[in-house]
Amino acid sequence: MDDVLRQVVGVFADEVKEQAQKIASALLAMESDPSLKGEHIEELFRQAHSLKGSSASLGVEELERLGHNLEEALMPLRRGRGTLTPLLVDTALRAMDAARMRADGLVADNEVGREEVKRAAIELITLAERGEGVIEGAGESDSVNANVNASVNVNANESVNVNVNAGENVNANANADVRPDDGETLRVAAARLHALERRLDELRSVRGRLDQRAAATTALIQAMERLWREARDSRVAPDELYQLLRQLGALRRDLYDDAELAQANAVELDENLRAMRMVPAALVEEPLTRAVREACRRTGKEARLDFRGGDAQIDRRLLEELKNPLLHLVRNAVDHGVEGQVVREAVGKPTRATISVSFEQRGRDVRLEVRDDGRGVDLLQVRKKAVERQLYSEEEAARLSDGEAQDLLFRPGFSTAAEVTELSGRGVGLDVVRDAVLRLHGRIELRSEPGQGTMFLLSLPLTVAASELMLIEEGGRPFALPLSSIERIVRARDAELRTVGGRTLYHLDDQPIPVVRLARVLGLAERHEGTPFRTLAVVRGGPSGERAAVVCELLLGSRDLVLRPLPPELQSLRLLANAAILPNGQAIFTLSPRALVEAANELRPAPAPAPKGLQRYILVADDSITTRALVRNALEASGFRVRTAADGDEAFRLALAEPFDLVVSDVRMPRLDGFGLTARLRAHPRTARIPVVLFSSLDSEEDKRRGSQSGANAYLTKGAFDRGHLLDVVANLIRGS
Amino acid sequence: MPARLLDVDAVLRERARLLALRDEGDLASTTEELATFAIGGHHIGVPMARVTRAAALKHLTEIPGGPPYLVGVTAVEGHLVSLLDLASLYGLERRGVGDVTGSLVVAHGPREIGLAAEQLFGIEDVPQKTIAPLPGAVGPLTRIARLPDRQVLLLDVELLFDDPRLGNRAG
Repeated sequence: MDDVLRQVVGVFADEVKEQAQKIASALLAMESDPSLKGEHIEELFRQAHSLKGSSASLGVEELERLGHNLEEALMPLRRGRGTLTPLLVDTALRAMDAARMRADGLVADNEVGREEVKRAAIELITLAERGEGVIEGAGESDSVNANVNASVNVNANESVNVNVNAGENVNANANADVRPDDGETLRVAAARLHALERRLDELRSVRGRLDQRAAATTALIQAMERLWREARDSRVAPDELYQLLRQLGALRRDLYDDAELAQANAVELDENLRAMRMVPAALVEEPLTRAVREACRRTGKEARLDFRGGDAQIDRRLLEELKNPLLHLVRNAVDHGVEGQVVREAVGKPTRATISVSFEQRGRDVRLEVRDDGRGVDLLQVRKKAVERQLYSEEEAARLSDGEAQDLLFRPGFSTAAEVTELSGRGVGLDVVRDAVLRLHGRIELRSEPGQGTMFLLSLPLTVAASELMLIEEGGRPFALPLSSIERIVRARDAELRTVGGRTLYHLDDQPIPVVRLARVLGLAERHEGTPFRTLAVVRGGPSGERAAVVCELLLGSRDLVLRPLPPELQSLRLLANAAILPNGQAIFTLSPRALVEAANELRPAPAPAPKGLQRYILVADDSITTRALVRNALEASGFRVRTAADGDEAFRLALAEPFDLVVSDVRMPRLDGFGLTARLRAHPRTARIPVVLFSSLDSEEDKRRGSQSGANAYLTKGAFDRGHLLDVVANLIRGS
Repeated sequence: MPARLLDVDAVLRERARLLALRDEGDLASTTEELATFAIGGHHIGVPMARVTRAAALKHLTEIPGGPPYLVGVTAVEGHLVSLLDLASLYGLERRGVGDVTGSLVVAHGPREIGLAAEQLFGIEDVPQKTIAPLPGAVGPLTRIARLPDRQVLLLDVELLFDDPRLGNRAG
């Protein structure tokens, strides 16, 4: 790659993609509605010429050739006559895909897409030479021609003058075409935007620290005040101290002022960043139109996409997340929703079906409708399928309300189409669409009238930037719940949680709500002893708004935090939805309200069942996660059942509550160390006889002696860790006990 | 002033010649730049080209219900990364345990993961001639550098992300 190209390759690639997208959109629009031809012809030529021009100026010959040949193929239109043939539309769309591919290849500095572009260029010129691209038809005015040339020049100049660094670029300038009144637009490298976002997080954490420091100053002031009072009473030079106190007070005021200023800046920065991330919904029009077109071709049906609300401004990340679910819905509409032409004619509908997609901004939400004018959902068929799948008996299925029957369509693997089609029936169903919507904190609803069509109504927050979260603590660890999912917080007496048939229920306003004990589903130690009260967060998370009461130890308050998607290696954990980073830099997980509702409805055995048969139960206490995991793995691999605790205090509580056969504990731990834990276990009648293995990085003789004095049965050092040795010691102690 | 001191061109030419020598010389072609760290008592090396950042561990958040080879998640410069215990994932025999004190974040394409480290050693140029394929390669640990004082297992980051236990690559 030459140096000039290297410097601007990111911008150039974006430009090529944008040109390809506009060309594809114009082709699709012309094909769908020939009466709109004039403006689209102009756009087609402008973009094709611009592709040719900018590619030529950077020496990317294959794309220059592609632009040139596209112009050639379209030439009869420029003469003001004719209609595009479907063959040309197909070929040109493929060519635009190839161009986009090549753009990525250029950024990655490899050959990807080059061959495809060359092939597409040849196909286009072949079509042009054979005269198969345009069918001669009625002529149009020549004024188009002049306009085309004028705009070409402007565009070519602009594209050369753009000067931004390489790398991923936000396609923000698409705004310019959709909303010409917005004024000047600027391409911004996404990496820069991310860097700003990271700064914002840091600013927030500075704010958090300032608050903490101001609070620390308050404590200092109080201590000094006490000293000053004592000194005053004993008449020892209080004046100097008093001055110091006043200075400290002023410092505290300044700290709080700074914290407020930092907060105000963070809020403003956040709002600006949000605005920068907004893109018009129209960006998904082209892929959706193509999806409908391809689905029609494969099914032999006729349908057009009617796209509305393209100027609604939506968070780019949200739109990206929504693209696949929307593609699925429109393919589904053609595939399952729309009738074949013969049937449509027979029932008096236009042979060409309409799939409409509309975006509408309502306050802080965006509402989306995906609607078809097809046959509607056949609820009889749905009920029949439910019986076949053994989800319900025939009587139960017949008793389902229409709404309940429709909800079945969102179940994984549930499909009423008679056969799996290539388009939308590959085991990927509406459940995936619903999951995506729920992950974005949105809702999806299905409405259908037999014979009239089907409508999916989606409602989502406009932005995925900062979310209001309720922070809770369970098992000593913080977690978050989306504030929007919390209906109420209640304090309940423990006795009000009643277990009936394996499910625990709490009655709120006479309605039974299934209870989920967080610690239990997350595999953490519960710490609710000593109080008859429980804090319950009533969350709504089911597909039809089902509720669950989540028992949590502590409410830590609400916060605005940026949600981050979980990396792929964590996405299989269904209870965890996202993560966020607290001002102090700690990462916390947000819990999935839907998974909590599901967990609340699962039948759970009574807590802490006795170990079965020979399976012995071991408690591992260590404040290091790695050591815990390591020891746990070694023991579990040898057939032991293991529970872990992060410190001595937690371990002691667990040991009182559950029947352990042995305890393996670290020595240095917060709150209560291993010596202390051993001593406490020995002192309590219920735990006095449990064998204890201390496992420590301390290997001085003094420590070993302290270990045995505290009552431990064995003392192992981490430095010489040997899996086999640990297992031998554990097995011997258990056998002897 | 002596004329040769003013001969800027000559100075630049000489510098260019020296720079070119360094590029083509022994160093560049016969060493590999590795970031090295220890986990489970093993020394691991990662080609620098795959390392995006290294950081001391401040906060580690346990993953409830997570697999044992993921020791937790942490925030590194505003990024959320999982911390992977290579010794646990690939069943390396433990030579003692230490606490995780840092992470080396590696990336391939859009994927990024933190490698849990008991100790971060830094960046070193390892002579090519000490590097050989690892007999009976363990997952993505396909090569070994035999240095006078120790052995370093070399990690192939691309292969690491191909491991199905780390989630679908496309996902």
